[in-house]
Order: sequence, then C-alpha cells, then structure tokens
Amino acid sequence: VRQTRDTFLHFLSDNLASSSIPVHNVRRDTQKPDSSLYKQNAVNIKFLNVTPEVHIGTTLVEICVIHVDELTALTWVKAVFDLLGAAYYTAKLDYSNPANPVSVGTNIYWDRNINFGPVYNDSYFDYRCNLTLSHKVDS
Amino acid sequence: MANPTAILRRVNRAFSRLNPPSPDKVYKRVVTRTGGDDLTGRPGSVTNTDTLLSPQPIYSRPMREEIGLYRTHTLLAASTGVEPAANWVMTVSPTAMSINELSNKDMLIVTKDVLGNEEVFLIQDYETTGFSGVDILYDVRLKSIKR
Repeated sequence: VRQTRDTFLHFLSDNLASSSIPVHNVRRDTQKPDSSLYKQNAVNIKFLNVTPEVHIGTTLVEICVIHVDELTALTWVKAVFDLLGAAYYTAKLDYSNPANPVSVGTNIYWDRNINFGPVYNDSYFDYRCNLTLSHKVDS
Repeated sequence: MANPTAILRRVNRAFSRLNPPSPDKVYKRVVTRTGGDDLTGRPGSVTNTDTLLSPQPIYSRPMREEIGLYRTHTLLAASTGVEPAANWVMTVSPTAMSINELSNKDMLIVTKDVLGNEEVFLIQDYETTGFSGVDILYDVRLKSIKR
C-alpha cells in the first residue's frame, strides 16, 4: 500500500515537473507540519480508502487541481488527464531509498473514467477527481 | 509619551506576573528534515529542536461560545456539531517568538509537564497588536495534533 502511494505521487510529480506543475501530498505528518493543508497553485493528492485484498487491492485517491486562475486550473486538468490517460497504468516502484527506486515487478492501474468536478471556493478554483488505484498488495 | 519598547518591557513583566504556577512549560519546536523525500514523507533524518519560550506565554482553551463575534452565533452552537478551527489561544510576547517563527511552515508549539508528557500544537493563525509600528503582542490560535 505504501509503495502504491509513493509510486503514484512520483508518477505525477516527476512527469508534471516538465510543465512546472507542482504536486503536493496532503497528509497528517508531524514531521512536516504544513503537509496537512491543501496548497494553492498545485496539484494536491490525498489518499482515502484503502481496501487490501489477497489478489488485487484498491486505494482511493483524490486529485485536487487548485489554482487562483480558473483557466490555468483547466489547463492543468488537461495535463493531468493526458498523463493518466496515456496508458492507464504505471510500474510500481519501491521508494524505501528515495534516490534509488527499485521496481517490484507489478503494476498500478486505474479507472478509465476520469471525471474532474469543480468544488466552489471564493478564493481559488478547485477541480477534484476521485480515482481508484488497483494494485497487488505488496507492502 | 510611551514608546513601544517601554510598552513591550511592561508587557513582558506582565507575562511573568500573570502566569499561573502551571507545571506545563511551553516550547517552540523547529522540525528539520535532512535528505529523504518530502513528497512521499520518507525523510532521511528528522531533528526536533525545542526552545523554551521566554517569557512564558499565557494560554487558555476557549469554549465554543467564545469563538466568533457573538456568543450566540448560530453556526457555533453545540447542536451544529461544528468543530472550532482552533482549540487553544496563546498570547505570546514578541520577545519569545518572532513573526517569522510564527509563519514558519516547520514550526510547532509544544507543552511539556514535569512527568515528560508533551502535547504538540499546529499554529493555525495569529493576530498582531502593535504600537507605533512595533509589535507588542501576538494572539496565536493553536490546534492540538498530538498528545
């Protein structure tokens, strides 16, 4: 489960970096106090339901594209969709040593129905998408 | 006419006089991460540096009706189940903490008792009170995140 989180975060972050789109993982972490907050002008990733299963487990992830400019948010949604829709899967890696990720020999794949809906806010524009990641439960 | 430095000195003396003889001491904690990967939360090493606030701040746990503009604010009624964003308010001297520290993303507030128990607080927001362009008080809103 942890490998799935790490892999999906890096899949988005590493590929969106070339478009200067920052990726932020929203999580409770006393070692990084500000990580529990959603960030403006970033693609926020929050992991939700975890459903381990003997063969293929699932992890629900919320993707929040937040930008002060609605049209930029829309452009970023397209960039995220292009990435997710390129193959609808990615190889799972073990990031225990972040500098040298190691392939674990299995894949993570997700829904083909990728739907971003707006969540109203006065200060910024917020497009959200819930995606179910399917993966073998390694660790 | 009073000058802000003199007011700040008086404020600091007031902190010492008003503080109850509580066994809890208040510290500011700076979290330093070295190496690792912030994105995934796999840090190489993490160091917490705690510094005792001097003078010690005055703090209280405001009840639901004390938060907001009106004591009878319908949005804050207990029946709504709405949880206040902050559950502690701490009045801090600028001598103890700077505005840069209050806005530091890696800064936490920690209370410790004589038994070694500690409670960790996230800084939610702060208000400044100043005189002649000098800060003399900070009201800091805190959220308990770890006991």
